[in-house]
Amino acid sequence: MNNRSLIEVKAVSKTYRRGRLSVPALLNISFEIQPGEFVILTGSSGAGKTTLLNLLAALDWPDQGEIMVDGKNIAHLSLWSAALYRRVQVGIIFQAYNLLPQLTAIQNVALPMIAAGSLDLRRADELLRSVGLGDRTLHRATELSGGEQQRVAIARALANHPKIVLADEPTGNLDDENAREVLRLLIHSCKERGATLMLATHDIRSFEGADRVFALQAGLLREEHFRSV
Amino acid sequence: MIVPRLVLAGFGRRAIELILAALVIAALSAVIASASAVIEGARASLYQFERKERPDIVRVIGRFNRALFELPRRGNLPPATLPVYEPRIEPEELMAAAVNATVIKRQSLLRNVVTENSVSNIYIFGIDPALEEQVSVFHVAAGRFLAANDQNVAVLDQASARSLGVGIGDSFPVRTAADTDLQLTVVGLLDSLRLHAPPLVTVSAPALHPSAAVVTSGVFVPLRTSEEIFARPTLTDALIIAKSPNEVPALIEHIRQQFRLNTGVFIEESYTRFLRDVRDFQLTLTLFRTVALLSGILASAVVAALLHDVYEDRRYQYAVLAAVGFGPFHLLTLILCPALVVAIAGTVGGTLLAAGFSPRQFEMPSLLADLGAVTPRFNGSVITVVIIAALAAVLAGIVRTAWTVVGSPLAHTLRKKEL
Repeated sequence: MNNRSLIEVKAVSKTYRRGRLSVPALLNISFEIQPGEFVILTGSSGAGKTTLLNLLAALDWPDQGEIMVDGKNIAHLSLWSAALYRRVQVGIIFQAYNLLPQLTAIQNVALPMIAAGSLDLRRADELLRSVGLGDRTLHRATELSGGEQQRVAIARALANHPKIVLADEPTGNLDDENAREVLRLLIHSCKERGATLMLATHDIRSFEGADRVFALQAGLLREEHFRSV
Repeated sequence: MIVPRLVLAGFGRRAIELILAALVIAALSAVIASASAVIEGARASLYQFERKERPDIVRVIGRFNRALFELPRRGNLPPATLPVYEPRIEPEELMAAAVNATVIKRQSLLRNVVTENSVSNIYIFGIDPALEEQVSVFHVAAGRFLAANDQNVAVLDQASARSLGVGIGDSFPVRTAADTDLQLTVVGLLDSLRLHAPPLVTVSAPALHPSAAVVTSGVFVPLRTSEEIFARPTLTDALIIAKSPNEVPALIEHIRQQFRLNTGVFIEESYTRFLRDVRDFQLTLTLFRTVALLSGILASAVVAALLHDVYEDRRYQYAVLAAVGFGPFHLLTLILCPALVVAIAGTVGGTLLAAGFSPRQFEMPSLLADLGAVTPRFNGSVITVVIIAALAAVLAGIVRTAWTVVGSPLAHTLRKKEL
């Protein structure tokens, strides 16, 4: 293993089974990501982008292969270890935002801190300000627009200073203007904090500024050599 | 403020189902508490009756001694000590038959004191003091009762003491089978006694209750002393206490087998009559239990179904919390809390309702045993049953959600929501 790699995926495969039907999602995938890199994961719907991000977030288990993060295999963590890994190492941003509707924006941002036992509402407030929602902290999630909700989700993902931010089509539900703004904030926030960002998207605008682009097709991964113009 | 909102807010219209679940638990708790209180009361009545009847005791006795009927009424004969029942029970055989049971050995004797003008009869009972006190009641008015290591001492009732003219510390002779007199020292006087399965009165003797049909008086000596008087260890009668009344039939069969060649040994039991007497009461009690159990299961199923719907709706929230780093214990606590709030509210409300409105007396048929009206009892057992029923209902409602969130890949739950 390269000493500088933060993430090293080795021969990972994942197949979904429903009854007799088997659908391969990832086939023998291997790659490495260095600390602080911004990596795009692209591919058509059903290509396996979400599956790969779920495996990297320890939200699912691979059928075979190893996923080394910071030198530790996270492929088959115990429930407790997986929770600790997600709490400390990873911030996750979902396409559907997944904010809790009964909580305010600041309370949603504070959730990872509660999980870690280090609630700091001042920091949550700062994070919201950094994504331009300083005046919306006490609004409930249901009172925010899609773009605002996704910005709250970005702030929540950064709450515990994660080394890795995994974003699964964060602009998928947003209009162009909001999508552009959310992307800008996400990339900027991660760069600013030195976090590795892995962004699954179809949106070609996201490719700008990316260090590397991985393309998934029918469960197979290849690295694209994309250069912004 | 965040955690209470995490636990209790955000149910939306499902909150109505939570309230409904609490009401059903209240009804469930009220029914179960009332039924359990009646059952507890009925069990207490049954227990009292059982304590009185002692169906767990089997009595083994030798044939009644005919010599008792042939006591001389006149003449200057020497005093004799006769067994009340024939001494046909070998202790070893009895112990072998009474497996896992307590054996209370007895030697019941009658001494006739013949004087020129009268015959005075005294009952003498050789007993194991510690064991005998488990079944018989002795009230010591003066001195003390027999101790395990006593030898040649006696405790006797006041009527017998008066007849013998003795008090505490005095001695009196008892003629032994070896035709010698054994001196017994009086260490205690009884002002009342109630022997379990006493012999019938067949001869006139000093008695605390002269009109009683059974013996209410006597001289009590340790078994080893009575063996010395009688010059043999064989017993005239014995009581065998089974571990539980249910073991009595098997115990009787063992004893019957053991003494099958000894025609002079008889077995008496009250178990069969006890069962017959309390049969209607027990049937009603069983019916009551069954109805309460079925009601409980039905109500629990309703509660479980309501909570299941509520929690299925909320499952994705728990998955999101897991995705942002909440650990299994933290999640299970968050999952359990709303269900516990519902369970506690329902249980407390229902139990108070039952305690407030349950009848003070409950008539259950007990024609032969005549146990009277049952008084419902609200005790720890009732509360425990109610809590277990409520917890079982809510746990059944949340188990699927809890398992999905904690025990299966989160990606599935999150993907379903996004779809």
